[in-house]
Amino acid sequence: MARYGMVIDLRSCVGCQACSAACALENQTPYWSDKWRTKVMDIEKGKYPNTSRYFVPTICMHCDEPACMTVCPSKATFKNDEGFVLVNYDTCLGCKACMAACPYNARYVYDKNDVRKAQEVYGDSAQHSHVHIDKCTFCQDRIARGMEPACVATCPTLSRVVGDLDDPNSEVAKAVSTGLAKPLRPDLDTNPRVFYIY
Amino acid sequence: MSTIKERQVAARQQTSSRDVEWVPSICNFCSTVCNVRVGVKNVNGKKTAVKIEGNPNSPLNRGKTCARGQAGLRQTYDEARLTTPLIRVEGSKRGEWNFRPATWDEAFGYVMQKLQEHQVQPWEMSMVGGWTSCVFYMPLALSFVFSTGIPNIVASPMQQCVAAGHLGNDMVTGNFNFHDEVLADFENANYILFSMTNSGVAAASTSRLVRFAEAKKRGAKVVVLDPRESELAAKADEWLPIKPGTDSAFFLAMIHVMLRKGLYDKEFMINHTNMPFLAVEHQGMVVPMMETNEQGYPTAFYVLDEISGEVRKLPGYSNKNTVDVDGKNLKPALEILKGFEMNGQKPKTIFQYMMEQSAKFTPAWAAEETGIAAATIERIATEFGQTRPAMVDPGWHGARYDNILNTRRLQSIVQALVGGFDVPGGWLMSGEYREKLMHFMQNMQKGEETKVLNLPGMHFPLAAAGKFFDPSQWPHGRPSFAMAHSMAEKAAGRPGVIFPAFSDFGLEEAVEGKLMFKGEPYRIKALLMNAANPVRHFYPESRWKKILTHPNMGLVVAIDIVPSDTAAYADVILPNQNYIEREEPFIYGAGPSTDLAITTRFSAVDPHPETKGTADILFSFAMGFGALDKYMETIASISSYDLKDIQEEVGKAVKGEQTFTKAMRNVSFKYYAKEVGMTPEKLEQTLREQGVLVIEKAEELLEHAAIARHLPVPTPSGRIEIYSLMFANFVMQEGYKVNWDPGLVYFPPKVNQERKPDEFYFTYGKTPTVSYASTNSNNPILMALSKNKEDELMGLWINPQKATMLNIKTGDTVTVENLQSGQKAQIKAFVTDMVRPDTVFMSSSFGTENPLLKNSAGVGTALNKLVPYQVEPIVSAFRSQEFTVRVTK
Repeated sequence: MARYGMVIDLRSCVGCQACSAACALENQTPYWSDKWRTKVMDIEKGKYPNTSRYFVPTICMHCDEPACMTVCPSKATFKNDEGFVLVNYDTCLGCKACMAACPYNARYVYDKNDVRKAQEVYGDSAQHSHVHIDKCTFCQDRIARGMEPACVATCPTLSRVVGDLDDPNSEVAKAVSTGLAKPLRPDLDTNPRVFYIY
Repeated sequence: MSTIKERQVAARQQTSSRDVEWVPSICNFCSTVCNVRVGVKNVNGKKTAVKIEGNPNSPLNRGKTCARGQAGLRQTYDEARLTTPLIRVEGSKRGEWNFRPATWDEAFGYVMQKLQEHQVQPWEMSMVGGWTSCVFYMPLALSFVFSTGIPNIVASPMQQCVAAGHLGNDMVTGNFNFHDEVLADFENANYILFSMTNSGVAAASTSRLVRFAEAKKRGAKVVVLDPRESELAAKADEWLPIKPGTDSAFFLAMIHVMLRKGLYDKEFMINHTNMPFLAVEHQGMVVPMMETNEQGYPTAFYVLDEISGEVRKLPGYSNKNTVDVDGKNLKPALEILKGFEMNGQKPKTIFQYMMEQSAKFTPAWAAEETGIAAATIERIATEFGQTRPAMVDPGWHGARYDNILNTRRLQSIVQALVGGFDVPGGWLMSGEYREKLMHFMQNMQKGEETKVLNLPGMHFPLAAAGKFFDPSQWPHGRPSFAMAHSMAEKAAGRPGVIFPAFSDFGLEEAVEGKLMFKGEPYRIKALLMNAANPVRHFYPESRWKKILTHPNMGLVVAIDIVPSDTAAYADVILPNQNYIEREEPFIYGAGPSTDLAITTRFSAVDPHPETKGTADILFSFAMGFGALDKYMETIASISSYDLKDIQEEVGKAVKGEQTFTKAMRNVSFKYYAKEVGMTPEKLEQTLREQGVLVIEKAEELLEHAAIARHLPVPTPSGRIEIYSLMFANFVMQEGYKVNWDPGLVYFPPKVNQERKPDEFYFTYGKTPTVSYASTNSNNPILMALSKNKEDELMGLWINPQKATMLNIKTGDTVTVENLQSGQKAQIKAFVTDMVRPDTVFMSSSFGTENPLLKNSAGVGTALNKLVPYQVEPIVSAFRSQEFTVRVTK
């Protein structure tokens, strides 16, 4: 089985937020409450005229050692066969322990208001029918159909690449093994599957 | 390994795109016209669009689409969707949302009755079109006005963009609409220089972004001239915060350096440009030695052959200078010796004149103008000249300054110096443009006329807009109101506009009854608006509100999808089908795709029963005006479509057997099926499956149909014109003006240089989440994305050096006052080091007012509250940044 990972290339990202829009539509996330599974930070550094502007997409890192999973009292957070960190919406108590544990701020509450609004917007096709902690699924449902995650598929700057980290010939494995792509906060020993080129 | 239960849980977590049927379409959210596919499925027994993706078969956007492209489907389900014709309630005022639902018959009846009541003559009407009218309905819109005798179209991308910016490039390359005709080959360029653009790439044009991303990943050097650190400037290796409006000085200094250091493609200059042409000075002007025909087109030029040392005569219209009129080969000299005489005159080459003219534009001079160090300018010019392929981005959006056409023209000259047309890493022509050019040349050789809509590049506006300017082309003997106004202004000793194509120049005067033509008032009493939102997209807002509410205005009709700010000023609103609902009336070329390809839209979801396609609305009006036969004849006369096919299919529509949209679609399919050698059914099936049909790949086209190398360009001479013959012609017609100097010239922005501490240069630009279209800022997802970057996207950018002094913090509401016009607006401040201290910036995307647009009404500040009415004299481009502002807390 492939060990999927993602490489996010900050050299080409322009912060257009196509990823956020694609994700919101694919996963019916509560954009109305400004909650997103993937966002792009817009960071300014330095004094004029030596100013820099960085765009940094954020997303669940699908850690091999997920801090969110170990703290979950109801075992609602689990890893599926591909190693994607998922939440069982039915058994999630909404206690937010995982949110506190996640060092990457990748989770949010899909709350009562969001559930109501989702019904209003999506009707019978609503994906989320009760309160839970929500997060990126690596679009495992698309992966299962041989498609890339929605954010990757649409990225106009080709800033997101997915592939098998165990396949030495894959673009992601090459970027990681050469040290071009690095994880965020490796010191936390979470072993993220998302890497950044910057 | 996960448990069986966990596997079941994962399997239940399905995403929107599962089990959808993908229907090919074309994005309608900006003029990049990306190929997309709409994912639809049954929800509660109703075909519903749930996801949009880029079409992976697209040679244009390569399967990608931006945030607007993604979120676009929500327009279909906008709460404010117009779903029935509306008629203004008797006694209510334009601007008030006070309408009653009506049937289509009632609405059409009302229109006809009002036209009669106000005795509106054909020339007293004007169409007002948004960009979608141009891109998707050109054959129908042009034919409609030609056949009904309406000599007026105001089109909203023209003064803001297409005429304003592109026309400068066009003077060099002969193109017309750069959006559609040119795709920059970023991915093969090693050095890319951008000026006055954010919209064209990073904010966001997907077809350009996918190519730019390849360049960034490969490590191409990127230099961006911009007073603020835009999304694009953020990606630059060197961001040069240039003083607003002085980019032309930067380009002139580049030309100065590149010419003097020999950093240009000499072969290209000699073979394909007018640099080797002999010219003389006449009354202070450089004039090429040439012969012309009765219409003023050149029939011969002269060069000095370096091999024989003789003066040789070159054909007037050609792509190369190495064969003379007798078919003999030669090598034109770029420079000729001092003392050379011919017929008693002492000619030099255009190249030599350009050397002379550029002498004063030194990097040190440009440093004074631009605020960029001379050493930096010199270095960038040198790097640019030494790197191959190097490219100046073609630019996007014009307007802003009186000198915009000159700026865009100079950047094209820089591109010409490195020979960067139709070569890897250069400006690549679209497949469709190339095909038009080839057909045009074939027709010319056969002595046959080319139909207006098939004319390549500049030939198209010269023919199409030319008709609006020529009184003799209309049965009533009147030109467009814009041309009439220009004539009146000139007669009164004021500056007119040479080429007011699809412009609003003089509209206010015409409505007020102040415009005179041949001693009679030339009035405008009725407006028919299609996907246009002039209350937001023209300058200033107050002008259009005045025009629309003027008592002389007898009728305002708006065709739209959701109620725009302008729709609130209509008398009749006609609800339109949107892009994922309708079957398109035509097959189109695939935008600026460098492959020759065709595409169209398929209906993804059922349109609301009471909405109509634009084709149906225009045909209904044509019938109402008793002009149906003429309408069909005109469509056939300006396009490739067969009149008999049109009559047959439209005949069925008249009988109610199909829509007019379907009728035109059938005609279009029949035509293209023949072109590509398929049956219409097979073509339909192919396009339904793939969305795009590639007919010839770019690589193959470039082998035999590259501009300059194989094909002449649509400039007057067929060459890349460093010296502009079109501008020289303007000098002959109108007398000299710096705006149309055919050589190298600089004129600074007309803004107050002696600024007070709270006085700033004003700049604006585009955000990646909202595009210049009718009312899409109401999109809930896009609005949410905009709001999460509220400071950057909606704020007034002000540098902390000034903000501290003025006690302004991020989030403070400040007043911006235009110190020239007195216009004022309030906006929230965004204090940032990413902008020049002498400059403020705001986005052009917000400030919608119509309360029906629940997501966008009242959010942000509208640009056109601050921009006054001031236009430049060539195309009436808006001088939309040519003023300073005061900022107070």
